Amino acid sequence: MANTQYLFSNVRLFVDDHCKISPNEEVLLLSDTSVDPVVIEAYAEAARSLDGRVTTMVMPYEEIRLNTVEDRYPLSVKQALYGADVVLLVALGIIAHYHPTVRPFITAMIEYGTRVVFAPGDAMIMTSEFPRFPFELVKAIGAWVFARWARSKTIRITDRRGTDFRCGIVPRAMGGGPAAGVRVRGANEPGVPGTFVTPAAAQGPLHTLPKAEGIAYFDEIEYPGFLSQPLRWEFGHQPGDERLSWVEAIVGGVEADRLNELIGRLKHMGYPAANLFSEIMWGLSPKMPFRTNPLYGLGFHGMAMTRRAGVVHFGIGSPPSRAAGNLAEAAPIHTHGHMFAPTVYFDGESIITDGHLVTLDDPEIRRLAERFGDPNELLTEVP
Amino acid sequence: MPDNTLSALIEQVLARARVAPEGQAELRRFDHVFQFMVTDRPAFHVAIRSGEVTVVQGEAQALPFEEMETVRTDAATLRALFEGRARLVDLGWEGRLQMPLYGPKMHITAWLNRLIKLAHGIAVKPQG
Repeated sequence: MANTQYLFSNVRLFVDDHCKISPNEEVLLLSDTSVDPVVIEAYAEAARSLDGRVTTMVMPYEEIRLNTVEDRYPLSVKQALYGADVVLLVALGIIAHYHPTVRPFITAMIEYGTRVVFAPGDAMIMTSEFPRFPFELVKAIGAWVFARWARSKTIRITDRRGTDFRCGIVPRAMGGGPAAGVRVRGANEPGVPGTFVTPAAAQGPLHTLPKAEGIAYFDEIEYPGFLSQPLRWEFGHQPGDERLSWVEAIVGGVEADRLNELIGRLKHMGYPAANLFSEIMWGLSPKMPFRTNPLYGLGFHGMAMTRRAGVVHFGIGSPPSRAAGNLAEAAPIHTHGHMFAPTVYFDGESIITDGHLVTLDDPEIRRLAERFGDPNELLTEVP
Repeated sequence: MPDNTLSALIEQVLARARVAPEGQAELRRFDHVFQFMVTDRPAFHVAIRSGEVTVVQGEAQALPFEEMETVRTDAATLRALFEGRARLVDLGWEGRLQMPLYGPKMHITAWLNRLIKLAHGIAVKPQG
């Protein structure tokens, strides 16, 4: 019972920070059968306590897997997305992240002004310290990193297994949750029509990643899932192309074979950009537990690890929404590989060292943390 | 002689948005410059600042990312969008119009789209 009360209290904090629900707004809770019904009810109760008019829909999780290029959302779900003021997407992974499932959400946001909030559906995450980490503090951490990003020209990433990667920096390419630090008014901001608010703690460049070269080893990849042996991506770019880069090879056992097979199939279907290198992002929260996604192997976004401070994820493929309608750069795929202990430099300045976000040691951040409690406790990563 | 037809259409549409219920407040929601790069017409740009709309022939002066967005399309597609005959998301998904549909500028796209709907009296939400 105590744990359930803690869950409800944490979920309420998350909803307060990320949703800005006004009285009588129509709130759709969209979830799937992989999520504990108690977690869904916790979100419903939080929305109701803010006087939202709550409707809950639960889909079979088999319907929202990565492994299809079809739009499989039922019309009833689409209509609910379009009609709601706020959609809380309660899931174990970001089910709106992949091409087959992303279009109804983009339509809801761009055409109907719906605010879509990704709400972690994993009870373990929502009973951890993650939802209680001060929102202002994670935004300050994001701003600290963004300030260094915006004045740098190159990013380099290494790790002890042999990752040695670099690419150019385009400051405008930065994306992520409300802590991304971008200076566009209203960007990723709770309460603004047409926004997709993901849990605050991640930022990094999207789609435009120039002059990538080198290799990156991953601890886990979202598709096809658990790794039986080390897997690496090898990067390159076309001479004279200043904007884009490509995953030129995926190497490492049966999992690499399956990802290569998927990309090969998409290319055969007429999507030459299926191997576009489309994302680098790092987590910012020291309180996200070290937790792999319970649905690995089913193509779900591994939300937990991508928000953990110091963990970096790379993306391959951009649906038309990420490619801003440029179909020459789009393909019906977007999936990630995760690095748990990278070292990251912006123009030679260390931002992450062996998986530790050095921002957490910064005196300015620690002074800010004092407003919320003991900085040593607040800024130390949980196991 | 520049072809002003498209830019005139957009000016008219945004003027109609202003007189629609909630139109003035919606126009004031953000400040932004939209650079229209039209494949078969001369470029022009539209500045919306403090709710005031200015349409200018030619490309805009370079501005920071935070203040300007480029829309790439052809004349027929742009006309269909601003006449309320086509959905912006569909045009983007079909590769007929390029502007942000994801990331830190997607709400700016949603805002411009909402202004078009206000101008044409198209309900933003489905009606029961």
